[in-house]
Amino acid sequence: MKLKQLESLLGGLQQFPNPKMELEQYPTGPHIASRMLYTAENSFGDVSGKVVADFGCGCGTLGLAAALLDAEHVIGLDIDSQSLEIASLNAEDLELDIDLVQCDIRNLGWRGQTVNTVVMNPPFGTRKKGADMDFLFVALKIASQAVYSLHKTTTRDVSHLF
Amino acid sequence: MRLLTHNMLSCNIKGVTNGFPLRIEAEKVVEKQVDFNADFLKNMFPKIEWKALVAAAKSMGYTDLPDQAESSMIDSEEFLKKFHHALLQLHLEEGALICPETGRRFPVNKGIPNMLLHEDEV
Repeated sequence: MKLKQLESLLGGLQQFPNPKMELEQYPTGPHIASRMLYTAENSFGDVSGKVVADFGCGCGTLGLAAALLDAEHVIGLDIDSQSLEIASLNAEDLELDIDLVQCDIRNLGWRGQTVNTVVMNPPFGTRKKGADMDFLFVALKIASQAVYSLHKTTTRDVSHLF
Repeated sequence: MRLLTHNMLSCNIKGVTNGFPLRIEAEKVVEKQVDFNADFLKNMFPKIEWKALVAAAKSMGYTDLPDQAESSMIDSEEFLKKFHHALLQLHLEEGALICPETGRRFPVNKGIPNMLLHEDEV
């Protein structure tokens, strides 16, 4: 699939009608989403034929992009049922099949490194400090191959993690 | 929800030592065709908890999986086709996932399991 086509399909997805501030809900734009997944696949082979998880999937943009680039199995995880409903509708619209799980990333029970790649646009930690680190921590634990994640430059200091 | 996802989920309630695998209570199961990908299945096989997959498949009405499996079996296309069907083509649409230790029910609606814990379970 060409990048422009991917970007166009992602641009047609439904997004949060009433974003919840406390969860830092905002859509991942089609421009960045398409390029992120396109690079993950074409430069690193981390998408096609792989198991991909989208943490904090919201309306499903990144997970669906992975599915469009032929990920074998995609799992989208989010805490908010309304977002998951929209993600489900978006998947139906694109005639794609992805699994969705409602959970809190901080107490998710997950067995081992069964996922190849994690893609995510997690909360930046502007509302709840350290939210981005919660997501990164779990992503690094469960991904066997790669983690692609978007972060805010002002939260760059990760030295306290190690 | 496919059984591939079920094979990764466990119960993380405070105090639970082994929350895997979750038992399945299936009220509505749907079958959806997926293209057969032998390479994917061969790579996935060593990562799968086989007994959990067999039990899960049985609770969804699919009993064709052998109770035990060794890596030599992945050379058989017949075996791979059954593995493919159980892992990727069976969907739990309505029902629940049950914690093996506490019996706590995690409902599954429209294919989406709700794994959110209550305040006293964290």
